[in-house]
Amino acid sequence: MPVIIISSAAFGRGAEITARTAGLLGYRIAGPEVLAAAAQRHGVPVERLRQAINESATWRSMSAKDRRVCLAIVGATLSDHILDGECVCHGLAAHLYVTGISHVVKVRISCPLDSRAARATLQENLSDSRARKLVRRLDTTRRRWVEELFGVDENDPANFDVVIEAERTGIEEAATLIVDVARRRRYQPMSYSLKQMRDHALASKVRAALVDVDPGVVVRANDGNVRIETKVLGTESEKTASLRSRALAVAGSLTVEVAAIDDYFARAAMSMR
Amino acid sequence: MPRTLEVMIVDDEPTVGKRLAPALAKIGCEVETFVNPTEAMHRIDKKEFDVVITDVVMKEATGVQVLEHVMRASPRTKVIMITGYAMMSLARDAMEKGAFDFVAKPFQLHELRRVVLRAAEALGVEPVPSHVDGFDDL
Repeated sequence: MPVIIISSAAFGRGAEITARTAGLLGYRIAGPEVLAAAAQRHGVPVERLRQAINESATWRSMSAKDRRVCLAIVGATLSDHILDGECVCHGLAAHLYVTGISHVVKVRISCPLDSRAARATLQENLSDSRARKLVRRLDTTRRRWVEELFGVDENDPANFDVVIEAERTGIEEAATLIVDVARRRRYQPMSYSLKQMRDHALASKVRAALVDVDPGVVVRANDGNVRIETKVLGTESEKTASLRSRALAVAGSLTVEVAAIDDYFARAAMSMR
Repeated sequence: MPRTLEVMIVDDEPTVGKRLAPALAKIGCEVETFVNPTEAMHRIDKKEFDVVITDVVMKEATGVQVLEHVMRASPRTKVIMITGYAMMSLARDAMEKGAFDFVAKPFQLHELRRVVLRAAEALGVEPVPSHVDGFDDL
């Protein structure tokens, strides 16, 4: 059965719709508990992972490098949760890094600023003007890092299979719509998409094992054969050897190929020092 | 019900049919192979197959056209799409049009055998195997 990924902006009713959709389908929910599992597995503070995805309400920001590391850790843990399908994900930015799998249904919940600010007022105990400022700031920060790390606009409907206006439909109708879509034949698992899911899971785990060495590392997997693309200065055999041995240590990796790409810009910058 | 499973293979690359046919015969399939999808569709008009395995990208007609033809002529037939040009949108469209499964090339023969046996099960047919040999890539 399919995996459903529900994305929404801050205070955008995504959690409520996720709970109702999972209830109607009898699916598991992959939500905040995945962050706790990821934190435990990789020995990082759960708050750090939460901040990487949700952005805290404080002014302290997170570097792109740190965010890449955190997202790789969350993605690797999530891949285990979604491998067997029948799961609704929310609040993990999964729509950004789970891509190209035909039985993964991506849903965007849109919600007007006024109603989101009204919920922020209640939940955060803020005045109306402060709530609006908070929501706007969270939107801006989110838009920036999503654009920087993934090069996409989360508000672009082209990135989703379904877009639902939550305020207009309400929770029940939104969940019913999602269930109807998820039951369509086009979103059912097939041999091809199940293989894609297994390959994605392995690539995610390898990436999580390498990302602290190279946050920009690109990992692809195909039936246990892993290909790593990494930027290097010159040959940098120590780095590629380290990536290879770490990747081979990940369960499910049968072969590892490392493609070392000359980091021309870094080399040029060093030569000018 | 134990009986022979009637299978058609459509692929404009002749080696695919040549290798798949004996592998499927061993699990109890009677196989007809076609390299020309137009000829295959004419044959579908005359005979009802249990399973049609078709490539997607072919010169004379696409696998999606074969799928649509099968769905019109014999809705009970299970169609398995195989392709080296797998894409999410293509896979989704094929499933929406009624494909039983969508398999990306290259695949191993035992993987395709498994899909064919699932199709047989869905039809309530128990093909009688002769014997199953080792695994091969295709």
